[in-house]
Amino acid sequence: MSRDVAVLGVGMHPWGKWGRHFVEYGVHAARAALADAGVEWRRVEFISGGATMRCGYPGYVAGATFAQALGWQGAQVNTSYAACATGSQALAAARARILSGECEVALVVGADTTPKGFLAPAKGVRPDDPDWVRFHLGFTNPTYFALYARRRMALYGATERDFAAVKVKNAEHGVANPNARYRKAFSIEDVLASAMVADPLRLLNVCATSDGGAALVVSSMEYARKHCQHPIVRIAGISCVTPRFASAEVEMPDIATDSAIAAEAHSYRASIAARAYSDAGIGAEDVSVAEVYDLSSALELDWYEHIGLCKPGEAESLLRSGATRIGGRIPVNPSGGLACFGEAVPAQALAQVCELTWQLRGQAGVRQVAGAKVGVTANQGLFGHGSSVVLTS
Amino acid sequence: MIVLGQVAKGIRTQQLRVGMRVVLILETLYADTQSEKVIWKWQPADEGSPLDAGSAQQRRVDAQA
Repeated sequence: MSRDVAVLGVGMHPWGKWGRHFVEYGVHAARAALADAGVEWRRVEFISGGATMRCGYPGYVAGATFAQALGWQGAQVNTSYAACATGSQALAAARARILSGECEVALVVGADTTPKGFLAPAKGVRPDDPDWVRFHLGFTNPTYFALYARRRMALYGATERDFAAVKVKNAEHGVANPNARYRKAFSIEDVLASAMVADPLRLLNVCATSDGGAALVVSSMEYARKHCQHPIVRIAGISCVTPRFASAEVEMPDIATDSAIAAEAHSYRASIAARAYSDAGIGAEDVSVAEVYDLSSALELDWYEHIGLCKPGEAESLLRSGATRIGGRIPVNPSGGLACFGEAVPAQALAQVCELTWQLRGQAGVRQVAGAKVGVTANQGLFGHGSSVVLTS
Repeated sequence: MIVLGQVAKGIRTQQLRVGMRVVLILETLYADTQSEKVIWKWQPADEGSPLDAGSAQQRRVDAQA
C-alpha cells in the first residue's frame, strides 16, 4: 500500500503585522486552499487545526474554531500544538486519517496573531516551567541563536559576513513573494550596519514575529488521481521525532544538554530530517529544494548540515559557492524564509509545505527552482518537537 | 555536557572561546530584607583575569550558609 498522500490545494494569508483576529487569517488561507484544490468545504471529512497559545480559548481549540468559522458541516476534528512544529503535527494527523482509510479529503489550517517583540513565556511566577526559568535567567530566543552562531564561528570559521550573506540571499528570494511580509533587498553592508540584538546577531539576522495563516487540502492518492487540478505533489514522509538521550545540543528551553559520559551523544536536529527521508525512502542527495527554519540567518547554516546538504563544517563553503541560491545546485528557502516572513508559529511549517508544493508543481513564478522534483522542509518546536516533510512530484 | 549560565560580571563575549576552562561562581541576583538571591555564573579559569578558586568556593559556602 502506498504511504503517500496528495496535496490537492494550498493557500496562505499574507504574513504581516495586521493585528486582526487569527481566525480571519486561517479562514482566508483555508478558502484559498479549497479554491486551489477545487474542493467544496462540505466535502472535507477531517479538519486538523494548528493551535495558538496567544489568542485565548479559540486558539487552544483551533480545529473546531476554524470549522465553525467555515460553517459547521460535521467533519471530524483535531487540534495539534507542537510550538513551531505545530503545522507538521496537524498535517501528520490528517495523513494518518487518510492512510488508515477513515477519510479521503482533509483540511489542515494554522494561523496566528502575534504580539510585538519577543515571543515570551506565559505570565506569572512559575519556577516549574522551563520556559519561564530560561527567560528569568536571561535566555531569550535570540540568545540561544547567538550561542549557536558563536559556536559556528569558533568551530568552523563562520563570519558575520556569512550570516549577512544568508539574509541577503533570502531577501533576494522573497522580494517578489506576495505572501512575504518583508519584500526588500538588502546588502551585506545593510545587515552589518543594523543594530546588535544578541552578539553576533543583528536585527537583520533575527526573524520577526508575524501574523499569518497557511492551509493545505490533502487527500488519498486515489482521490487525487481522479480529482486533482494540478500536477500531483505527494507527501512522501513526515517526521515528528523527539530527541534521543543523550542530546548533544542545548535546545530551547533547556539550559543544559544531557551528560554524554555513559551514553553516546546524538544531534537531535540531524535526526529530524533523517526520519522524514527514511519515511519517504529517499536520501538527502535526492533533494532539489529545501525550506528550513532560519530563525536566525546563522541557524540556516546549521540546517544545511542537519538536513544532509553537506558535512558538518561545510555550510559556509556551500553558501559561498552560491549553491543555495535560486539557480544554484540546491536552493534553500526560495520563499524568502523566515527572513522575509517572520514567524507565525502554528502556520509556519504549513507555509513551508505550501512553498514546496508550488515549487514541485512548477507554479512558483520568478522564485521557481528549475526542475524541482523532491523538496524537504525542516523546523523544530521548542520542548522537543521535530518537524520535517518530504514532498515529491 | 553543556550547562548554560551567564558569565561573571565584567566578562565580555570577546574574552570567551569554545572549549575554555571556566569555574562556577555565585553572584547576587538581588537581595531583600529576608534573603539574598544568588545565581550561578561562569568565570574564565585560565589566562584572563586572575581567578581565585578559593574565593569562589568560599562564596558558594557563604551562599549556602
